[in-house]
Amino acid sequence: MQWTSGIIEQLPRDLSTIAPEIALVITILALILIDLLMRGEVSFSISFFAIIGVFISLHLLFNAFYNPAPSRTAFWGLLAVDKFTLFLKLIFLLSTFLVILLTLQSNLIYPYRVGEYYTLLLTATMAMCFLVSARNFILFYLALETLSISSYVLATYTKRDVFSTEAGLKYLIYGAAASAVMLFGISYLYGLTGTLDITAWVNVLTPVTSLTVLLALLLVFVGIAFKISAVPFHFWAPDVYQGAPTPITAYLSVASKIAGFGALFRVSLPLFTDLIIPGSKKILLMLGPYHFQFATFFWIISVITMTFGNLVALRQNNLKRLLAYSSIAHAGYILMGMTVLDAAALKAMLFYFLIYMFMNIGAFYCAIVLENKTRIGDITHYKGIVNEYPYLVVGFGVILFSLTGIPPFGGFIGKYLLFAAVVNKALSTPHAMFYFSLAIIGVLNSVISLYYYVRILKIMVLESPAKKIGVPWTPVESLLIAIFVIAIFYLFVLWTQPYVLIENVVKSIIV
Amino acid sequence: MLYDFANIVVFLVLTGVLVFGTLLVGRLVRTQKPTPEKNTIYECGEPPFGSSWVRYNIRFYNIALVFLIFDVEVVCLFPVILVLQHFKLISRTLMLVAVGEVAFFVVVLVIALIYAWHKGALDWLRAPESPYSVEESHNPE
Amino acid sequence: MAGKEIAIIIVFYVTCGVVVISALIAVFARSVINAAFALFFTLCGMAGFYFLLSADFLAIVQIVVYAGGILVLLLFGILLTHRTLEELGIEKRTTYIAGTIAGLAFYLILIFIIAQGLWHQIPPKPMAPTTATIGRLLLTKYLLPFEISSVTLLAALIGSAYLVRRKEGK
Repeated sequence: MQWTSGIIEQLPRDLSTIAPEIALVITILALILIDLLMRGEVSFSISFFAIIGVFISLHLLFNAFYNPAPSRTAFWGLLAVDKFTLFLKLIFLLSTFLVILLTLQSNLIYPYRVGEYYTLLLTATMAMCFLVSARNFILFYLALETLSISSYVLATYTKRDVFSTEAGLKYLIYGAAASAVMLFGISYLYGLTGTLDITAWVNVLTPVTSLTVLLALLLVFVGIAFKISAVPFHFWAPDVYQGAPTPITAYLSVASKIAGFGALFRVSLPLFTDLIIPGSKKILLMLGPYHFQFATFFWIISVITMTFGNLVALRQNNLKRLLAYSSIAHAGYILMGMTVLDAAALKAMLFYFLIYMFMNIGAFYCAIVLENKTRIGDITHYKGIVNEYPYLVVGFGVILFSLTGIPPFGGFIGKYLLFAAVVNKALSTPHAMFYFSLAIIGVLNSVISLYYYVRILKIMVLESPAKKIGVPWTPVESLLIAIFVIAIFYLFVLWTQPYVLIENVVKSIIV
Repeated sequence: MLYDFANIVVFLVLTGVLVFGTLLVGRLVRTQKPTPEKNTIYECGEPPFGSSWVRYNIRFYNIALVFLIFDVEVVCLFPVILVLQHFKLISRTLMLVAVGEVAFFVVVLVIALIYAWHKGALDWLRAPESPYSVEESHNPE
Repeated sequence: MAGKEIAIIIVFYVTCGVVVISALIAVFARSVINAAFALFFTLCGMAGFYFLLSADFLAIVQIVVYAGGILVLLLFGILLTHRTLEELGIEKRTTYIAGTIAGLAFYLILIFIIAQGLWHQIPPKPMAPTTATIGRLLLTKYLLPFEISSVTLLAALIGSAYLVRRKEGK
């Protein structure tokens, strides 16, 4: 009966640490009841209540940010409560809100009932919030599976479109196989360590057992690599991104990917040298001989992912598929930070998540506007659109230049921070060529990506239009594009609060 | 407890032996002289026509799906209900807390039940305006 | 007692045989129905392993949920889509050979790595019923996964009910 001793005192305190997720759960239940009890056309009420639910959750999250209590664990060590997870939850809730806005604008979703859509969207968000704070493999796997099954159904939500059902089916089969392999790896880790703690593998990394532990970690990485679409496990991404309804593609490419990275951080936080975490000296001693092996592994995965994503994107004509390969390449850039494995790289990666969210959701919003107006997803049909929809092309241009990493925009700052972390590490370790080569390959990949991003702009601006499309431009679209442009251009270039926030966040990580 | 499992194993083995043994003995002892007429499928004396695969009603699948979800819920509830009485012995508030935890689990799944009921996943009869189920296709639209 | 040990070893190897042979049948069978029934025996064999490990509750869950729920669902799915499965192509010989080699290589690597790993040992305990322990853990230490699993089940029901619904309404 030892577990029952502290329940009554601990439970209210622990429940307050998951207040945002509780708000999301109450919203989910409320949405289901509204969908059932209200007659007639309910989609307005449901989206209204969904947005309210997300805002209440955001409010509770901001309250938690200003709470000066130190980082701790909750629910008997199952959950990590620190500003790091709060930051990632902020990204998830913001991207959910933006995706809800995209859904309201998209012509693909409204022929279908939206009750289940918003319910599953919020369930996926709640699952992501639990995933990035999990310190126990049971919670980790349960949250990952909840996220996955919500995503499978959301990807195939527009049932009558054959591409959508194909996307959902491919996502399901591939995801189930990746989950199974990851569960196998988790079972090995349990067999080796005897506990289900996520970072317990550090304690058993002795020279005798190292091969088994590394194999088990590799199997766990398979499941995570599936979520972040790193290259040997990326095959689902182009078809799923192209087939799924575009707001869901935006959601998958941003929130699901960042959740995968959050899961990767949870498992691999001991690897980050010079993070001040309790017991870090002992951990560093144990991990010392293997640190370079991990760095090499991530180097290989990062280079393959970047290069493959950029090279294949050169030949794509479908906008959503091109953005899918570009987001694979961006996962490669973020993995450069995983190669460096120190606090500066972690800060760079967190900043990149924030800017990547705005860039990618902005890019998919432009894809939604284009497919609403023209009903075609092929880039070559967007010739000369600048004459009819100039604001769209300007906004899309800003977003595309930011995705490439061209100077005055936020994407440049994100890439700059990542490259700076790599070069700093190169200058301070004996393996200089190892890290320099990574930086050089990263820069070359950015240059390659310039071609396919600018090609979209070239078709839209420089070529002469075939015929007039005639669908009118609405002020809401101007507003939303302006929001994305402001976020990319102003928020991260001219405003320094995000950097301060990320500094605080990284200081407060617990393992 | 090992002996309880041993009982089950013995039971299974005996079942297997009895069932498969009798079938095996019958197979070995029977004469086998197949003729084309003997090999046709029995259809109450009429000559059989068409494929033996009938068009299936998708309602079976719906019911099995909903059943599976609530089956998992029941399985989760079994050990929890078993232990609730132990909480009463420690303190009253602890028992209320435990009952509250179980109540949340059940309430969420009651909402799931209401959803499935209202959306027609549990309906068995078709809507009255279609008189004959000819157009039941395999793939759900 | 030597007799008890020998009996346990015999039961273990018979269960292994049941699981492996029915899994092979499930993978290589020509007819899908044969594969589904072989899968049933595989799942029941897994339940047998759980009984041998004294995880009685987990074995019953395996039989009730897996063999009694998921397999039934699988069979209904097969019966609904039999037309498309009749035309299942026979793969080329190269696919079989490549798949077998890759599978064997992975298997040998796993065997090698398992054999040399230092697995975490727990002291041997007599077999005891586990249901009460699981119940207590579900209400205390693993309370959060217990509650989240209810939302997971809700999401699974909503998603699948949405996907199988016919066109009434929207």
